[in-house]
Amino acid sequence: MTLKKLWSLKDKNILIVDDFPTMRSMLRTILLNFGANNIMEARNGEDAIEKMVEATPEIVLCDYNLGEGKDGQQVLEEAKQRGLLPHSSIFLLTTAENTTDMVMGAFENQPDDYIIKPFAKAVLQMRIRKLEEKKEGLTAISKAIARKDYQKALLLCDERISENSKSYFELQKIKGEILMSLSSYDEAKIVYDGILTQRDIPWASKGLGLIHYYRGQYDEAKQVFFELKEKNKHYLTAYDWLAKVEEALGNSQGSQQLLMSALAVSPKAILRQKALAEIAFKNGDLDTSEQAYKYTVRHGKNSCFKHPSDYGGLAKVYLEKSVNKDAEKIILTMKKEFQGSNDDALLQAAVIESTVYKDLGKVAESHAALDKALELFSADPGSLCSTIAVELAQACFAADKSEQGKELIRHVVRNHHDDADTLKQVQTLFDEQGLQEEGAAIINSTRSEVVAINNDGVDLLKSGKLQESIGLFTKAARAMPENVIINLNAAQSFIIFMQQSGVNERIMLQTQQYLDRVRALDAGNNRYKKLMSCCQELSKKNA
Amino acid sequence: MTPEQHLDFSTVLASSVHDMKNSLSMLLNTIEDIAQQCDPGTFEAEKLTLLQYEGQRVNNHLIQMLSIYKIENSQCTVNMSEHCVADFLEESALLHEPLLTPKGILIETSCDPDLMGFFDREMVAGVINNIVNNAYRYSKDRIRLSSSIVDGYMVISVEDNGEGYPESMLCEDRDIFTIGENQLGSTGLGLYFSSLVANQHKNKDKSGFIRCTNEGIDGGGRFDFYFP
Repeated sequence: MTLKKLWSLKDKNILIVDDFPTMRSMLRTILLNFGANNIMEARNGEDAIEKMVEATPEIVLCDYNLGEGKDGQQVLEEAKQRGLLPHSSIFLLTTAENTTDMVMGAFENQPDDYIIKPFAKAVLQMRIRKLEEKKEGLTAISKAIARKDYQKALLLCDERISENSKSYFELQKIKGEILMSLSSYDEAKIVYDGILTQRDIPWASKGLGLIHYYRGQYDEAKQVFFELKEKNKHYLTAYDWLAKVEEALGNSQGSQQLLMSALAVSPKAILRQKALAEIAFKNGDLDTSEQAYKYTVRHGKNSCFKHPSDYGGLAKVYLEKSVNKDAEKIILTMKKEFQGSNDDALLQAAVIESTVYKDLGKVAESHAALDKALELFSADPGSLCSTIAVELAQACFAADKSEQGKELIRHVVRNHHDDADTLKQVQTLFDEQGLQEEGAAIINSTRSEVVAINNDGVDLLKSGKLQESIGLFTKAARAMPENVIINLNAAQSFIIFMQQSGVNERIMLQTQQYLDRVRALDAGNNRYKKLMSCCQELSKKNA
Repeated sequence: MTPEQHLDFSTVLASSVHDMKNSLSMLLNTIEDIAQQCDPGTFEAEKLTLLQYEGQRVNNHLIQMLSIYKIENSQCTVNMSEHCVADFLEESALLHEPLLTPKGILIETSCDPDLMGFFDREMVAGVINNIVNNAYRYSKDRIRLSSSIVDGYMVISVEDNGEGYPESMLCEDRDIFTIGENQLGSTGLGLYFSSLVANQHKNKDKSGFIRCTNEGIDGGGRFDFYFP
């Protein structure tokens, strides 16, 4: 018989976040009593993020109210977004009053638990222990999710559910989330309907509403989110989704009202402010839009939500209001803010700069920004998304850089050679330039190029030259990340490889990445569904 | 801020409570630290226990006050999420043990370790701590926290082996607990708070309710909290 190992926090990386120094030292003393020997402290949200970058904490004790700057919930959002907190880490929110109705449901990410001050040492100890146990019980599932082996994760969920586990609802929730992320709406609906016959649980209603939304059943979605909002006044996610549904139904005024009500309760949500800024602009409510963009820009500054399009949006509001001076000023601020950012952000910033200067009538500045954007594009063409590529092409044509414009359109066609809508859109672009025939020729030749690559790959596959086929498709998928058929074929060649030589975690991850791209572009794709079930078979065999 | 712009009372209340709670945290933890250094049974240990008890009472009343205010102003919706009931009861026992043991009262929990319930943990903890704090005064030497399933409701019970509730406090029905103002007192207010919180717990078309009887240990007081 072995002695049960004594519980201790020895060697755990722990981070304490609180703005009161006395509170921090009190917590430190308590944790030292539990055997902790690796404690970091942070005095505010920004400091907390820095500490998390230095060393990944296994346990975070974070106060909700951190004075100026980020609150505890925002620390969690940022940490999750930036991948600083793995699934296995515990995030425990401490609050002075029962603010849970404000915190819970208002955001995508939720703390693992919250504890109300004042708390007894014994209670804190018990909470941490129970959370550790709970995390441990779900380790296998979260690991499978982390390596994108969704089939394995679903199998594990079902296994645990059938064991009549006490985490029944938790497991159903995870299962629902996985199915939703795979766009398997029929199966997800079974999960949520099943839960709702047992009891009213907000996340299950939300799931059901989302299924209607993604299927374009907006009236049904509206009803679900409306009831959810009425029953749970503080479940702000319901407001956000209802706003999206109203917009889809063409009621952009109603959508704006909903976002404003949600912001009255929780003004700190940056993404919600941004959504308000966009819809108010659409509604011609320039004052509201300006205010919301300003909030987004100011508070997004030190967060992961900082995006050039916020600055661009604000500049557009100023242009619309004919305060050109401010429009130019915000563009200069944007340039300064994004200095040294990644190429994606720089490129988008340059495109925005170019269009705003053009509207301001500053031709030289507009061209300079355009040149910079083109330079960034030619350095790494694969990463440019098609929406921005189209914008950039338009700017090129307007600036008499038609050669570059054509190259950009080739890029778009390569990524969407089989998508009629996009092809029509770029043809219109050519038409506007009076380049009907040349444009049609460019589109056709680029399409044939892609078709040829694709056929070569399929031929290699058919003649059993699997390695060559894999090489060709992975290279093509790198150059054309938005091309559905190329991504499908890349995934298929890997699946065939695994069927012949056995499942390999790294290859499974890459296969899922191709399939994730396809799902994001065309969730209802039939070949996608087939390949997903092939992956499922492989996972089962491997299990 | 111009003189005409008054802060509304709920803002003042919330912000004061925030500060008071931080102070209470420090206070209670310091007392706990000192208490651990004392030999049990000494005069100092006894007085410190009293301080802890009073500190927790202040805390309970703060929670009660703010919650009632919020419920009556419809600012508050309960946050029903899933919790392990055994853990919940054990936490409450852990919280009170240091106070009860010196007084010779044994606190025990009895609950299926796999039982999960849907309720607002913080608010219900406020209710249960309140009731246990009362039982501290009236119990002879035992308090039992337990849970069961009755008619599809999940029931949390607090029992003691004291004299039982006075006639005026007994209640069986599902309505909000009310009592004459002159009789209200701490126990009456606590029961009023409990019934408000219970009533806020809803599932489908059912609401929660409370029961106060003298069916506790050896005819002592028994408080039942029914969750739909």
